[in-house]
Amino acid sequence: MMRPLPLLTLLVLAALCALLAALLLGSVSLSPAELWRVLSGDESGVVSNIIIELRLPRALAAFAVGGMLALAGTQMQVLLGNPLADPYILGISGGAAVGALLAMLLGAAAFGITSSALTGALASMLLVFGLAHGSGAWSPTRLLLTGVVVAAGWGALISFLLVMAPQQNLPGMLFWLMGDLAHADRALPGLLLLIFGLLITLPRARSLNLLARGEQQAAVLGVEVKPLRLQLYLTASLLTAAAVTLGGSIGFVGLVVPHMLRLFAGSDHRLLLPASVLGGGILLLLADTLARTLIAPQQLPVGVLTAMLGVPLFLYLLQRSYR
Amino acid sequence: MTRLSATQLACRLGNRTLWQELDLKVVQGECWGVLGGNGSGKTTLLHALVGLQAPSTGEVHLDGKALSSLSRGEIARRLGLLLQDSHDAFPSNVWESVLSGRHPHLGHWQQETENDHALARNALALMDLAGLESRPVQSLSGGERRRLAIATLLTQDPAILLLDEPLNHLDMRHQHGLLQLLQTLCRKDGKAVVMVLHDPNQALRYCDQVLLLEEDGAWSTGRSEELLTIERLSRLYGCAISEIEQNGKRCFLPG
Repeated sequence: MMRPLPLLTLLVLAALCALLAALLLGSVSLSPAELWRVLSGDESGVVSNIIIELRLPRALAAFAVGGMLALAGTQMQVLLGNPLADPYILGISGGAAVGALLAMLLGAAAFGITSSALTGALASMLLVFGLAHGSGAWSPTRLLLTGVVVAAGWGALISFLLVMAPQQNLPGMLFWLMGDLAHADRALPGLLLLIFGLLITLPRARSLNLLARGEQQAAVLGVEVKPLRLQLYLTASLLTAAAVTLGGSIGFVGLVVPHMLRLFAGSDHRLLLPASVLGGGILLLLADTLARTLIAPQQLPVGVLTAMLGVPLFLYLLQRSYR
Repeated sequence: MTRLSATQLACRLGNRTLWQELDLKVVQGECWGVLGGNGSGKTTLLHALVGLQAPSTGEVHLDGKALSSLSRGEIARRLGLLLQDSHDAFPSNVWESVLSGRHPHLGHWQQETENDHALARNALALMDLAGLESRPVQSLSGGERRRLAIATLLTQDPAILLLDEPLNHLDMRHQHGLLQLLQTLCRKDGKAVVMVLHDPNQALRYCDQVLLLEEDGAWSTGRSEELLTIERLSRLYGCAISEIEQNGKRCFLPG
């Protein structure tokens, strides 16, 4: 197990390296010297445009989306008391997907698709919350079952929309479903939300440690469980909604990054929360860089790459930790 | 000084009413044993005393203040409960677990100090777990896990300790070690202890007071050597019990 400071330092350095790679690599590869000239303002023209207008915003968006998914995943796992939970388990991505696909079918532009996806995600979040809250107790099991069933409902709607869609719309719709950052050109709102999500969860990190030991144990040791659950649900849902709106339903990051880091960092959320943000950001940044470059000039959906990178990495770490 | 009191407490679970109109006064320095058959409401009573279970009537007072008016944090700084089972869905190690007992004493951004670490180390040593700090909890035996949960309660360091079947999974040495420790905490440090026990002999030997919870909701309290008799215990457990005496020590046996 690693000490907090070295681990976080290592992750920050890795994030910077991944960012550097994302800026340098692509269908037009640049040298570090060229990058330096662009960043210091000495270079203008095509190269500068590629970096400042295309690669930098997309790289930052990839980092923000990855960070939001991993942070939401960590929170969702504690909220549901289930290590198998991921940000999509309660149907938020399904709601977003139905919104996005509907907008695509109606021929909406990028902004229309984004806002429709966000509406779908928020609607799903409120629906699950309302149904699970109802009157009476708000148990993790009830929340989980409600969310899973609502997600299954969205899944059926998605299949229906795909079947009904005209041929020429299908590739775009499938790309969206697999997760794709090609249209993620606005990173700032995502980054701000990511920082906000981290900052309001960090002061509760020790309470999360206790909630992971069970609701009663947490209450006995002084945690107000109900408000904490509510905060976790709202934060994780909003982060997921924002991530899905920016990048489609990119799988794997939110489930596996928290686990990978638990293997390294232990179970203290004071370290796990910031480490998840960095780890998720790094994984998605690398995956997106590969998605842009592997078969350039064509692009792969990044969701395919997150799994291709993450599955062997995770299995390797798991093997090592049980040795 | 009365630390914890219950007045006219009753609890309904479904359509079953557990102990009715229960009055209890736990004084500083006292060690209480709670005895009763399976399903007589012992766990529910401890949960009601710590505020995990809202009573259907009556009220619990902690240091003179109504429990319902206190925050969970305020309760946890003075009153601790060892749950009957611990639950670990997520991996964690012994040191992280035992240190979690300091949570109610720390602010949002505060880190554990050397003093917190010293309390945790001391609790581990008392529970015979020193040296296991970096072991994953999942790799511990049942008895070791139980002792870890008790060490967490000792690290929390509340003035009143409620323990739900603390002796589960413990071997004989650790059972008596724990009971002696709890007795010392009451006599020397002025703590108050309320624990659920299944062995009347241990209650007789280590508890000043006992609370007997009957199947039908009736209850009785009194000094353990007075209240623990063959007649009462036979009725409490619904089976024949006999008594032997050796070197002036009484001992109950089934049959």
